[in-house]
Amino acid sequence: MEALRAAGYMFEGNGILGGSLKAEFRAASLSGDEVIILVKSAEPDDLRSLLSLLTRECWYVDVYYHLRGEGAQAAAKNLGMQLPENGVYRSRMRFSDVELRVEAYPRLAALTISYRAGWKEVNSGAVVKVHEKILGGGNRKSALNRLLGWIR
Amino acid sequence: MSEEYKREYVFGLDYGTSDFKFGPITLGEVPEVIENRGYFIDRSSLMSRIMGVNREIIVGKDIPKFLESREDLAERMVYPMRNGIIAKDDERAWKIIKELTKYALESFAPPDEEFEGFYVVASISVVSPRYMYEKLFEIFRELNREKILVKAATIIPQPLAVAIAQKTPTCTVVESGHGNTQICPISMYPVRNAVIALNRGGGAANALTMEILKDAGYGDLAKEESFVKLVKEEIGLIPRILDEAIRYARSNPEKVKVSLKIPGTRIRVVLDDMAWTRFLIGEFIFNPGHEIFQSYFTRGMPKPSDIKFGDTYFYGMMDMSEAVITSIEKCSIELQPHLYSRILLSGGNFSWNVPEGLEEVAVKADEKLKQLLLEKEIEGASISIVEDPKYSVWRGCMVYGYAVPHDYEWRWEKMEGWMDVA
Ligand SMILES: Nc1ncnc2c1ncn2[C@@H]1O[C@H](COP(=O)(O)OP(=O)(O)OP(=O)(O)O)[C@@H](O)[C@H]1O
Ligand SMILES: [Mg+2]
Repeated sequence: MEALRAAGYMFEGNGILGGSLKAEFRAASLSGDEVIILVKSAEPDDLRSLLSLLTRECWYVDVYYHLRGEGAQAAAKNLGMQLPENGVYRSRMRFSDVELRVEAYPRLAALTISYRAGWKEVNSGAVVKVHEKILGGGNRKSALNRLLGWIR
Repeated sequence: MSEEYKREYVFGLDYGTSDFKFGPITLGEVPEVIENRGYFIDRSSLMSRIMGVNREIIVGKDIPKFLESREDLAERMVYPMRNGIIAKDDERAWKIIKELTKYALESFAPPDEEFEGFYVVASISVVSPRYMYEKLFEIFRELNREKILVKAATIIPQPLAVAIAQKTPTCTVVESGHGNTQICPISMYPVRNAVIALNRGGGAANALTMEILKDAGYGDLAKEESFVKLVKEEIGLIPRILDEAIRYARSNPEKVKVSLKIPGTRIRVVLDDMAWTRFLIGEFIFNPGHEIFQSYFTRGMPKPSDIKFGDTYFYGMMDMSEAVITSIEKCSIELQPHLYSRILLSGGNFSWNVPEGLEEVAVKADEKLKQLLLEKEIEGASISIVEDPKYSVWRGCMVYGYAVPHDYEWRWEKMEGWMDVA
């Protein structure tokens, strides 16, 4: 939190603001070693700066995207995957040297994609590439959140 | 089992009276929503045998596909939580709760070996008696016998979930959904003996909308609840002060009149010289005792009644500010000012908007309540509507599940912790 403030992010209640980025502290573990930050909207570059800061401060940062309906279909198409008809489906795939974990929930027409980000993924720009791949380049709002280790 | 595993598999279940909201923590902001209802198929019927339907109960998005066009539809369609409470021996209702729970968990349960069940945070009404907790834990255990879905579970009252989502340890939560309204002061824990429950919610406003539609000549449409609900949400307005709003509507008809096209049909609902009735819909939620509603009652609109369920009274006609005051006044005097200074409104029944141009007379739910409290000489109350009121309970479930350590065991005295059901 101090690190975020030092980097010029503003806080408003649980909200975190910086550039085009709108995010929120959603939950924290009791021991305070992990928090969930929910990113409500951000330009890819602002997302990258946030991640770059977080990967320096935290043991790990997990990035999650959850998509529904058309968004899910589009993302699946972008990643070149076929959505199954039934059941819950889990797989892993590599993209831009990042291992993505993909979970598909056909009954609900939904898709969750996640990966663990470190300074390598941020520096190589993979973070932005994945972001654009999943959201199709547009700046569509998505339910995107991340879990992160706090202590370092 | 590690903390890391738990955090990944926190799963929320909000058993609302009309909507059941569910999903794992990875969904982010918005849970999945299906109606809290189930349909009992007549398995002896020739058609169901020919079509090879061998399920007893249907829940979720499939229901419309199975509706038989029959007279006894109303009897076969069961809304198990109509009042937020299920009787101990109401077998049909419990069967549906089990089916809904299974549907929710199965929709997200990953197929792989690593998965040992979700950490489920369920949320039910604050007036739910202890046997409902026991019964839910039992359901989780039963489901696990077929297939491991739940590793551990915990159950929290809906108003507490709202307070948790907002991270406010001292507040008064007013949770108004479809079937009922719960007013619950919270000081770290819910102050249970101060809880007031109202036997009305968004459903009561539907009943009034139905009458208004009938009067406006849409009697046929008024029979379909889903249609009525849609109209209600689109046209209903909360008046700051009802009498003034009606006067305003009469002298500015062009500002208040509406014309609403029902998506997917050729139907258009037009309220012209009856447009003032839009304000009645919002008023009814807060103050059904206003004399203006008398004529609707005499013509047969059901009056929200006082009922007793178990040990709990559900008041029908008590106005919203009266209910808040009564509830807060049951708490210690020292605590009372703090409870007034943080009143949180949550639940779909508070998500009313003010259309452009009507700011003078129409208000949102928080201002309405403030106005009503002022009329009762409560000044300085601070009221806010939580963000996305329909989902705040589910969000609270996430925050709670994420925070409670995986090895913190369930305790009945405090009603907190994880119950091992695997
Ligand atoms: N935009 C809106 N304007 C007015 N009313 C709305 C709006 N959106 C939802 N509602 C009403 O809110 C009610 C549903 O709210 P909610 O989902 O919180 O109920 P629930 O959780 O199923 O019930 P409960 O909390 O009583 O157990 C319905 O009556 C619905 O018509
Ligand atoms: Mg509810």
